[in-house]
Amino acid sequence: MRIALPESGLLSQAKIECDWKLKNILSNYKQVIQQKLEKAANLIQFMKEFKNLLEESYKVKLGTTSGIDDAFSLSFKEILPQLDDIGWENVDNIDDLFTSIRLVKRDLKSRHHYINTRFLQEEEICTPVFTTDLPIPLHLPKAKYQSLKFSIKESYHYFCEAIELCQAFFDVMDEIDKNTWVLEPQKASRASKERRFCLGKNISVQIDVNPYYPSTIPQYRFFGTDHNVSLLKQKLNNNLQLWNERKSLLTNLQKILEISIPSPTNSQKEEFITPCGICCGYRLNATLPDKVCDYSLCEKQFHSLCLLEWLKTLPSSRTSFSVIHGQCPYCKKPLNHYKLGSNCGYEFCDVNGLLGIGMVYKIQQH
Amino acid sequence: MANISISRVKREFAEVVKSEEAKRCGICIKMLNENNFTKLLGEITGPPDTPYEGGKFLVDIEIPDSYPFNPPKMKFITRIWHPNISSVTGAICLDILKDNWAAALTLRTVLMSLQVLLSAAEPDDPQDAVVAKQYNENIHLFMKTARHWSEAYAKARPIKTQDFHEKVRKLSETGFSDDSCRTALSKSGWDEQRGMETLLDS
Repeated sequence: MRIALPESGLLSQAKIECDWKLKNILSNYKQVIQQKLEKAANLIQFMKEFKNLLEESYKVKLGTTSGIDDAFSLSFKEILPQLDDIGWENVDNIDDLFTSIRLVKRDLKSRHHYINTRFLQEEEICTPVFTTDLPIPLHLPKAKYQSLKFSIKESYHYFCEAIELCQAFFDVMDEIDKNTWVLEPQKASRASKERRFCLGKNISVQIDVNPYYPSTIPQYRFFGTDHNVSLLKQKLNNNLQLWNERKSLLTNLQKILEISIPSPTNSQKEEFITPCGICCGYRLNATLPDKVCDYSLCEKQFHSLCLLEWLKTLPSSRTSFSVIHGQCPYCKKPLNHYKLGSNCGYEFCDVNGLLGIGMVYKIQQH
Repeated sequence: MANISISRVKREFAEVVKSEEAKRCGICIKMLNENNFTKLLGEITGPPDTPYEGGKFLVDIEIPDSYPFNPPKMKFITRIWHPNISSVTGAICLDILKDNWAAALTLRTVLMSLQVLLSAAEPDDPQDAVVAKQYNENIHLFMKTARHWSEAYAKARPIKTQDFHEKVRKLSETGFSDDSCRTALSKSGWDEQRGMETLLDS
């Protein structure tokens, strides 16, 4: 490095030349060097400060690169042989730094399932964190799960086992997705146990399928006018004993509710879904209209949020406890609504409840 | 709630633009500033067989943040002679723009209601007392005055009220503006003498 002083002898106007390696290291410190030049009383003091700066910057640079190298080589050595065993055709994605690996499992019905392994680097210990798109939790033996050597291959093995266990569940969900107008979720992941689908005009049901026993009666909640909902509930209660676990969930539902569920093959989605009568949109904060005017000639649909806001604005509305009574903005017929959205919550119909819990226990033992 | 307001106005805007019925009835809607959906401009064509026939009436529309839970604010920009619309400010007396607003109503239906209001005035619930009085006492004079205002302000074809134009022109030679002269004459039953007095009194 060479420092050229100007004729005036002013340190602040000195020129510094150096080779490219040094230049590279100093590139982030240009301003600092300029400041030090201006402040230094003489050249010797500046050189002392410059030496400190150089040492510091070098340390920082060394620290970052070696950190990456360690994690990289460690993961590399442990993980590569495991991936060889699993088979590279099952590796879906690996990120640049080798800190996250996504594996795929194609089941017999060529459905794709993913397990993502992320390595959390905390000082010396590298802990793997698994996320899957399974509807059930992945139970891994704790001691083994902590070690990196075990992690990928074994977890993939347990993952495949869990997929086998859920085959019936996936079949049920696929049947629903294929044969009904699903309203929610918009894009269901394999892990999602809930589906809300149309049963007819302005009436829909949301079910929560038990992944261990998918052919049993699911938890359900009907959306629609009071009249329609109570009709369906009545039928369900009357025909409950007809539920046949050897038949599919959809077949059972149709038999028990005595309806045929509209499917994409014989109907248009617009026949069953109408936008909210107040905001005129379908989705508000990702929810569909879930409240219906009970008057049979109106049956206008609203988002809970919109209807609540409307009833609040209406000077003629009355509140008693947590219910607001007011008028439908369309037909002016009386309408009421719970103030805190407290009308949500499932109707429980868990005839096999105990069995379900027993099953969970068994899996944990295993 | 502002996001509901904007998304709903956008949908309604599209509804008016593509509605065949609105086109047939001569109703349209515009933005005043690009992508600002809180200040809009409506246009209503005067309905046939009324003194407003063929006139283009501009309506100022202001969408409050609380829309659609509260009604849009509307007033006529184009001056109009009508018992339920102020001849001075353009303020509109219509129940659905006040207490009877319902979220079921849209900009399209409100503009159409305004059009109906033009063909069926409600003199018993007036906004402009002078106009309402004239409507009740001398319907013929009211019709002619309303026609004259449509010709003068709403670009309706001038055919029937040449004498009124002449009176306004004559009175305005005194130095008062056309608008003031027309208002004064209308309020005083097109009597030039009283019209002059009204002008000097104000």
